[in-house]
Amino acid sequence: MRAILRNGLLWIAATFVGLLFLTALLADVVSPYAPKDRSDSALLAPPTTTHVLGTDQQGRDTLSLLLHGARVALLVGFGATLLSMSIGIPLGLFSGWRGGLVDSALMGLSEVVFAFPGILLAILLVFITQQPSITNIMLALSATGWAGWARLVRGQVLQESEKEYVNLATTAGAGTIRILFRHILPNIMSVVLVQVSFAVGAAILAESSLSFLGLGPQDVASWGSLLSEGAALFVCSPYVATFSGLAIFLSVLSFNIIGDRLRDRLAQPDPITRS
Amino acid sequence: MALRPLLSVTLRVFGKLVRTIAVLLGVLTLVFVVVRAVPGDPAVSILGEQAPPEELARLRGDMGLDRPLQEQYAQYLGHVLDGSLGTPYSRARQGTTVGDLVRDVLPYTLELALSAVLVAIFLALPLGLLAALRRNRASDHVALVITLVGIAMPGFWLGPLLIHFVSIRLGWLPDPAAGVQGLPSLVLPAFVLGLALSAKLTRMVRTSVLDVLEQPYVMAARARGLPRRRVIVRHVLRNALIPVATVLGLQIAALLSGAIIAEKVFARPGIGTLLLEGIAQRDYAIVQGTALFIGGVYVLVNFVVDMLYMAIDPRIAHSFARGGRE
Repeated sequence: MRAILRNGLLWIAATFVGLLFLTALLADVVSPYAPKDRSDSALLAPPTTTHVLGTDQQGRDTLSLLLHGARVALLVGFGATLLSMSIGIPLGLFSGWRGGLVDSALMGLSEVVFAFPGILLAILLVFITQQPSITNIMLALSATGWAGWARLVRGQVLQESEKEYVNLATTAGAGTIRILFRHILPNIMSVVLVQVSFAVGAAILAESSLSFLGLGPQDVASWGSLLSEGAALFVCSPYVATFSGLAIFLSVLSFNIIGDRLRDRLAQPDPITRS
Repeated sequence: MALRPLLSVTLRVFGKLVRTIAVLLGVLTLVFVVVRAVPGDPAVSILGEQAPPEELARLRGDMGLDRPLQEQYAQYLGHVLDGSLGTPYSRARQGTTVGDLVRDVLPYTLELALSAVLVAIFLALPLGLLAALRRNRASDHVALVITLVGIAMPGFWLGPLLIHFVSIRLGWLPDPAAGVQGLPSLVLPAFVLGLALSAKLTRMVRTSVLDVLEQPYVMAARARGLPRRRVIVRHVLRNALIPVATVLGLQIAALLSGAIIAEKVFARPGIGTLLLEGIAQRDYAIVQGTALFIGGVYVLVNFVVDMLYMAIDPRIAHSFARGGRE
C-alpha cells in the first residue's frame, strides 16, 4: 500500500510536470487559439465544444491562456530558483567554511531578509521598479530566495567539514575553491536537489500571488492575473477562476510531491519542518 | 552554586537582545534603502508629470527629499521611535500619521492571525498525533496527502471558491462584499489562512511526536503500566509541543504574508490592505511604514518565542551552563 502510494504519487506528479514543460515549449502549437484572440460573441462563456474551458470576460479562450500561462509559471519558477541558488549557494559555502566575521555578517543579513515574510520584500521591490516584468519578478523573488539557500548550504558545510574526506582534501593541499566546489558541493547535491523542487513550487506560488495582487507581469498570460480577474467575476462565471486556480494548485502540488518523495528516498530530514 | 546558570542565562538573554536590536536596525535600514531606490522622482510619480513645479517642490519638502540622506535617515528613525512612522502624503489622509493608520487596522489583522493560528492548532494537533501514532498506516498516508494539498492550495483560489459556495450559494456565512460583520465574517478568512499553516504544523507535530515516542522516559512510563492515553497526553504530547511551539513562532512570517492575500480576497481591512492601498496610491510613507511594521513584528515575535522557549525548556539553560552550544 505504502509503496504504491509513494511511487504512484511520484509518477503522477512527475508526469504532470513533464506535461507542463511540454505545454510551455509547445504552447503556440497546442493552443486552440492565440492567447490574445477575442471572440466577441462569447464573453465569460461556460465550457463548450469551441472553447473547451470557456472564455474570460474579454472573450479570450481560457484553455489557450492557461497553456501560455505555463510558460510564465515555469520561467519564473525555475528562473527565480536558479538565480537564488547561484547567489545563495556560493555564499553559504564560503560562510560555512570560513566562519568568523564573514559568517556572522552573512547570517545577520539573511536574518534581516527573513524578517520580511514571503512575498512582502518582493511586493516592495516590484513596487519600486514600477514595471512588473517577468525579469523584475524573478529578481525580486531571488532577492529573498538567496537567504534560504545560503542558510541551508551553510548548515550542510558545517556538517560536511567534520568528515574525513574534507580532512584528506585539506591535507592533500587542496585550495578552498576546490574543496568547496569539487568536494563538498557534490556531496550535498542531494539536499540541494530536493530543495530545488520545493523552491520551484514556492516561486510559482509567489508569482501567482503577486499577479493576484496586481503586481504580476503585465501583457502576458499569467495564471495569477487570470485567477484575479476570474475571482472578481466568480458569481457571473466560476470557470475562469476555477481552472486557473486548479492550474496553480496542481503545479505547486506536483513540485512539492516530487520534492517530498525525493527527500524520502534520499532519507533526508523534512525541509518543511526544518527551519 | 545557582549563580553560574543564572549568569549564563542572563548573558544569553542579553546576547539575544543585542542580536534582535541589530536585526531590527537592519530591517529599518533595508526598508529605508529600498523605498529610496525608486527610480525617478517620487514627487512626480505621486502628483504626475503635469504637476506645477511649486507643488512638486512643496511635496519634496514635505517628504524631506530635499535634505541630505543622513538627515532623512535620522528623521526616519525619529518617526519610528515616536511611533508615528511618518505622515501619509495623500491629501485625504492629512492630519493622521502612518502609525495612526496602522493602529486603526491592526485589530482586524490581529484577530485574523490569531484565529488562523487557532484553526491551525485545532486541525494540526489531532492529525499530526494520529499520523505519528499510526505511522505507516492508512491514517498516516491520508494525513500526508492532506498536508501536501494544504501546502499547495493557494489561499487566493480557495477563498473565492468558499465565498461562492458557503457564503453566496448556501448563505451560511455573511458575504464579504457586505463588509466585516463580527465573528461569522471571520470564519472563512481564518480557515483559509489557517489551512496552509495547519499543513506545516501537522508535519511538525508528527515528526516531533515520533521523536518523543523513542525517548526512554516514554518507554519507562509505558513500562510502569500507565494507561496509553495518559502516557500520550502527559508525556508525549507535552514534550512534543516544545519544538512545535518554537517553529510556530517562525511561521508568523508566512502568516503575515498570507494575511495580505487573505485580506485582499475577503475585502477585509487590515495591515495588508493598508499596504496595498499605499502601493496603489504610490504613498511611499504608507508602504514604508507598513512594511516596517510587519518586519518589526516578525523580529519581536521571534525574540519572545526564543525567551518562552528558554522558560519552557530548562534543558536549554542547563546545557548552556555546562558550556554546551545550542
